[in-house]
Amino acid sequence: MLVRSAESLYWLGRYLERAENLSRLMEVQVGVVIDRPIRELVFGWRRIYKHLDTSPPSSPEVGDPMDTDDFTVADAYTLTDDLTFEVSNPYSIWNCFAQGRENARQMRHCISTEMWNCLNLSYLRLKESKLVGIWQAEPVQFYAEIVRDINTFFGVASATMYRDDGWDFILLGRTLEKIQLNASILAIQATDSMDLPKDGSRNFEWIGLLHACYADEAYQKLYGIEVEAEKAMTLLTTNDDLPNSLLYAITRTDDRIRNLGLAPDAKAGERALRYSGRLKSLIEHEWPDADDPHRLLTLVGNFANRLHDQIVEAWFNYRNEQATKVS
Amino acid sequence: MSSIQDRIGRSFLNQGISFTLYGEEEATERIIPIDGIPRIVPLSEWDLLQTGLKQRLKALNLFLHDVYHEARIIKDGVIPIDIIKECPQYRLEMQGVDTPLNVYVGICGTDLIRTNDGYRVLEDNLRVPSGVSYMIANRRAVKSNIPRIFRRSKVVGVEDYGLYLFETLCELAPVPSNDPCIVLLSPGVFNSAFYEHMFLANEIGAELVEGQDLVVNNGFVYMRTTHGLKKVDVIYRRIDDDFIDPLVFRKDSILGVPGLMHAYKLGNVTLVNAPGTGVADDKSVYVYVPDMIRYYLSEDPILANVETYLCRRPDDLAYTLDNLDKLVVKTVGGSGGYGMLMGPQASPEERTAYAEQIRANPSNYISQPQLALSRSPCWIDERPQPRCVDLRPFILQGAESRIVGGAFCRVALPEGSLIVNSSQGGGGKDVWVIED
Repeated sequence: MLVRSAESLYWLGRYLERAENLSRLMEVQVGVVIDRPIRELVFGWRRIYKHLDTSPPSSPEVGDPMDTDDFTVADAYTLTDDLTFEVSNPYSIWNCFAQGRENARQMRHCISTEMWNCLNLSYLRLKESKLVGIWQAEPVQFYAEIVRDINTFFGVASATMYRDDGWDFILLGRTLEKIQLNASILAIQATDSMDLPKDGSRNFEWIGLLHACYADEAYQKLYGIEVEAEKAMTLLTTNDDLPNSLLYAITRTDDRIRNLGLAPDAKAGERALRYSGRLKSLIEHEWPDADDPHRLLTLVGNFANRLHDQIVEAWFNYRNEQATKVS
Repeated sequence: MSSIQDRIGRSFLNQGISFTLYGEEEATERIIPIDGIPRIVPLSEWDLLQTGLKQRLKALNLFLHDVYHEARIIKDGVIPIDIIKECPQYRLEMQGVDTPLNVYVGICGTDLIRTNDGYRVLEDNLRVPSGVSYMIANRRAVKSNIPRIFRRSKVVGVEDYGLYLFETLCELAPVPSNDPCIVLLSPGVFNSAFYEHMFLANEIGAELVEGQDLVVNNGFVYMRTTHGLKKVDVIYRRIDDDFIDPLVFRKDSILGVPGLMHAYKLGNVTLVNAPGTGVADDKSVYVYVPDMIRYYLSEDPILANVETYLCRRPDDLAYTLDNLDKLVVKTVGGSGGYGMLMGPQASPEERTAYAEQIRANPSNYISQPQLALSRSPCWIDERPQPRCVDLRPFILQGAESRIVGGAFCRVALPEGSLIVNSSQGGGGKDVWVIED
């Protein structure tokens, strides 16, 4: 497959994963807005902005929202707009979705027609959506629909796409993005949830995150209905049967790289494999004894970044002189 | 009928069958409006057209070989040398270059119009003609929305175009082969015809590449793949000559491949169409195509030209300037409907300004009478209305000539308009070739 196509498909996977991840967090957050205390509301918004490593737009009515407890419903409107539709916010769901769709549009010949039709229909629907309409109707439903659209797209992909390199690159992009996003949100959770007052109330921050990671039902099956921080963290990090756990994403990333075989820049390809192996061992071997989860999760994020660099070097940016000639 | 029209329009939008328009702030993805009422062409009429089109393309290929080799046609005084010398599309780099099977134009999209006295050729598009994907997409949309009428009408199929194109490109490979490595070279996603590039690459199972994907190494062309460099045999290029190789043509081109012409001249890769074919569809040379047919094939032309005045000839220039309000004036190297004057519709000021341009450089212009284009019923505003149409069939030339029984029919959508170009807001229509 052409390098440029492979790279686009890789980014298609990454952008759609990013859009899905934020949509899930928003689905939880707009649910919180309905009936939860301000404390939970503030925690949720902060978690999202920290996760994206960016700051919320300051709204003139409430001053800098980060400074105050006033993440009220009115702010929710501004923040929702910023995270969902804002064109100048590179992390907004619209931007990620549109980027993903643009990569697909340019590579329509590399994906199945069914995949394109599915994605393009969702795109046209999202394009028609307006913030006012969302708040007037059911905001939770709105985000749930985006999530469903993206999951449907990957489902259709799985059912219809020919298993060539393009398939590997879409999945590689998706799982590598998942590693970075999960490592980031779990690292934030590891420190920020410690700061919350331990007043015996329910662990709302974990309940929300479990839901956002499609893990609430799995948690119940494994541990019952009482949500405990440590158990939730273990589930989201090390459980290889949970499709949204960190280990699951790492294992699949490693599988994809192995599947791709010899890279045109063979040395960079070997380095990529070493990093994915290192990521696995961080979770499988070092996590159980780690006394500082935040540090370890940050390390996972760093290795994931380096892994991305090696993938780019090995398959996308290799030098013509050192590349092998194939017939 | 309205609901059929709606369904067809929606199916285009959902599939993203689009055409990019230039001149707006951001290039926009425009959906080519398609009309649900097919244009009917009787088979007997089509057979004649087919034969005429093949004859014409054969002569044009012989002309191209001649003009880049001995130039007999000039020496024999059939075409004045000045016309060729002044034609910017004549490529010195192509002098003496041999092409596989002596084919220069493998893919041709001829514009035909129908007037009171039959079909006439308006333009031979011999560089990078586009529109064939709409022919196929229009057919798919129309036939699935009126399946029973379609079945009853016994319409000649157009679906084999991809296969014909593939066979043609295989025959034109440097070394004839059943399995050459074919790529379609596109300027990229911002090009107006990108949808078509993608569509055709898929139809023929070729990689869709951009200049940056190709490298020249030791006189061979390779593409960058995820497994390393892969040798390329045939390039179906959808980039203009000017941009294909910055070492030979325009230096500032970032769309092309440095060294491509070197590999091409060594015969290690085939370019379809060959560089320099524009000399044969230049609008001054167009006037001489009927003469070419007589000269090379010793046959009478089956398809006639549109009466044309060459402003380089003093008499024709005077006639043109005197009759600007009746004529359509075009630049000799232009295409896509850009830079032309529709005399009868233009304001007196526009005509005066245009006359200045003609006087400054007469050889750059030709004029033609504004013809009464044939009209076809279109479903507009809930009722059938007549609109002007033209016809662009696609002819392929490899070891043999191939043509499918259909064409891209362009429609001038605004009432009274004569401009059918997709880049000027025209629409499309399916063409049904049906047994008489």
